[in-house]
Amino acid sequence: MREEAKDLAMEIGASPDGEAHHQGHQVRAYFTIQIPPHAALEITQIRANNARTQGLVIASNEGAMAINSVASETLTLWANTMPTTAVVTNPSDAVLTVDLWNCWRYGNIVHAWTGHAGIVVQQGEDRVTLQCSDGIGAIEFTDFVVDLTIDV
Amino acid sequence: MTNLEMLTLFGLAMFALALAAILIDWISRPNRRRFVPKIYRYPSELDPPPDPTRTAWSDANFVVPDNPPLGEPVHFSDGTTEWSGSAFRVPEAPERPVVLPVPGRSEGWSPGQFVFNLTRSGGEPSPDVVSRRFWKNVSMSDHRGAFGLGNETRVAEGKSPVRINPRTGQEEFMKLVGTKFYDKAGQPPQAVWPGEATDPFGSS
Repeated sequence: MREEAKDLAMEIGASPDGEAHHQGHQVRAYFTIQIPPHAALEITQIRANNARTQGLVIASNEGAMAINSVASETLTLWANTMPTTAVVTNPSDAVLTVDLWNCWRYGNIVHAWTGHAGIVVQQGEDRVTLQCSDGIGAIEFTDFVVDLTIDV
Repeated sequence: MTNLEMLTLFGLAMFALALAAILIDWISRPNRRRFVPKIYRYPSELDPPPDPTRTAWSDANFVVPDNPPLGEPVHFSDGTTEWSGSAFRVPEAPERPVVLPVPGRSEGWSPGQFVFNLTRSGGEPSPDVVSRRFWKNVSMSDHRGAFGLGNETRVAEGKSPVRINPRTGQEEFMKLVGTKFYDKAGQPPQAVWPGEATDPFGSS
């Protein structure tokens, strides 16, 4: 009996620490960052695979955030409509913890956390780079790449 | 016999015949309803009663007649309703779903066909049946691999894809919106993963 094939998202989902390893990289399903009170998270689009519309979901764990005059607990920035740099603000007096992950539109359906989806996080001096592989096709951590910086 | 007498006699004979016809119709009906000519009856009163899944106009183009408004309905204690301005009273009929005939919905379904095809017996497919058909069709399309390796078998079996939400550690099943034919005027169902997000820069 053939063993059922596993993709990256399944490996991450089955892992107790929420991470998988691919070619020496630690791969995770989402990235968590904290935005200090009244500070801003700047999200700069570096690269996007245009074969499918790439997106970034930003989900707060305990309160609303604001962007472009819109306040919400869960936002999606799409590569083809967002500005090069989008600014998410924390309007509250408390630290806001947000999770970010890649989504993509395929066949008029918004997907995430399926197939070979995963994120490699590169920590820089003043920024964090998320290199995302979407769930379609082979593992390519260049499907959507964004930089994150905190502007206090 | 003068002409006037003959006309009177003819009129009386016609009146007697009409009375006899009304009497025969009334006697033949077990529920002793008031006589209402068929042209003034609502579809729900016509015999035989329509199949709830089909209409009496199944093979015809459905055209809504441009009738004048009846005015405000007045409900009576005996269960009848009369519309102001109308010359007749009709019993309250139970509300029935109106199923309009739509061309292109054949009876029976096999993979690759329209998910809203009627069942083999001509009935409306249930949402579960539509869902199974939808996913089996997806498994035959180029999108079958879009849900990940672990879902290919599920989709081929007509089951919705599943994923693990890494934030909660729980399984999430894909949902279908619009699994009833008239939900979206015959448009195919839309598959969505749970969770909603706001797009602050407009739809992509």
